[in-house]
Amino acid sequence: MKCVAGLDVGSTYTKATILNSEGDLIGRAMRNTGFKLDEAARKAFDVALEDAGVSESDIGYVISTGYGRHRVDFRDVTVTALTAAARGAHWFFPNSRTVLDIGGQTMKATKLDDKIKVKSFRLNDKCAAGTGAFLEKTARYMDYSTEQIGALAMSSKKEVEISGVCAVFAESEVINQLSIGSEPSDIMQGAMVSLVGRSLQLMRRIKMEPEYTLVGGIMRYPTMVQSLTAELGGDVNVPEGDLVQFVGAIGAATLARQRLAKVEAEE
Amino acid sequence: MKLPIVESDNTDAEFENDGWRRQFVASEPRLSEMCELFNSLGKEVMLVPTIQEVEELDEACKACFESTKESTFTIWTRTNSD
Repeated sequence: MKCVAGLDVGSTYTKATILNSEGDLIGRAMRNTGFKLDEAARKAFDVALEDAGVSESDIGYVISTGYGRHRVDFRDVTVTALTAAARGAHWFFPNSRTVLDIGGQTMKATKLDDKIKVKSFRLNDKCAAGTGAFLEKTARYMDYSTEQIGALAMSSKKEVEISGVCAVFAESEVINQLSIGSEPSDIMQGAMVSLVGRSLQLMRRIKMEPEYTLVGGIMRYPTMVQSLTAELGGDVNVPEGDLVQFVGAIGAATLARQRLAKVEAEE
Repeated sequence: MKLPIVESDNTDAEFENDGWRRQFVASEPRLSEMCELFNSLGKEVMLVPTIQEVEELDEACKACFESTKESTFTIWTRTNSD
C-alpha cells in the first residue's frame, strides 16, 4: 500500500500529515493559513513530504478537512472537521468518547460512539468569542506573541477574573485590567480560565462521557490543559507536544488509508 | 446542497412545540458543513435568520452582529421520526 496524506486547512493554521503503509505518522508540517488557502495547503503538503522523505508520487490518497478543505485542489475527497477530529482522537486514544477541539475560531465538542461515529456535537454559539482568537488578541495587546502565551500563563500567581471573551473587545478588557495593576501573566491565565468555563458548558450540552480527549491549538498551553483536567476530574487524554494541533490532519489521513485500501481491493 | 432556510416569525417556544431543538448560530463556510453533519445523524434541519436573536443581544455584541446578520442563521433540528 502507498502512503497517504491528510490536510487540515484551519482558519488560523494549515496542517499536513503523511502516514506510511503501516499507518505510522512519518511526516508533518504546519503553515499559517493566511488568505491564500490553496497555497498554504500546497506548502504544508510539500514540507510534510520532505519531512517524511517521500515524494508526491508515493502518495496514494489525499483527504482534506477543516474550514478551507474545498480549496485543496490535489485532494481526492473532503471530510468534515468533526469527523476528522473524531478519527484523529481515536488514532491517539482508542477509548475517546468525548472530543473537545478548540482552534483559532471555533470551539467544538463531539460525542462519539464505540464505532468512532459522531453521535452528537455542539459548536460555540454565535461568534468566535472564547476561542483561540481571544487568547491571541489578549496576548498581542500586552505585547506578547502567540508563542509566548503558554509560558506567560504558567508564570501566573493568581488569575484575574475576565468578564468577557469577545476578541473584538479584548483590548478594552486588557486595558482595564492593566490600569488596575493586574500582571500580564495573571490576565493571560484569567483569559484561559474563562475559556475553560465555556468549554465545560459546551461539553455538558452534549452530555459528555469519558474518556475525554482534548485537541486543537489551544491545548498546547499547559495551564489550559491543567485547568480542564481539574474540572473534568480524570480520564483526560491529550496528544503530546505539537501533535495536539495535528489531530484533525491525522484523522483525515487515517480515513485516506481506509479509502485507499478499499480502492486497491476493488482494482 | 440547497440550504433549508425558513423565514418565520415563530418564537422559540413555538418551534419547540413543533419538535424542533435549537442548536447554535453559524455562518458559512461552517453552516453548510453543520447542516451536512446533522443530516448524516438522521436529523431534519431548519435554518432561521438570526434577526430576532440579534435584537436580544447586548449592545456590544449587537454592533458586531448587525454587520453579519444577513449571513448568520440559527440551526434548528428535529429527528426525522418526529
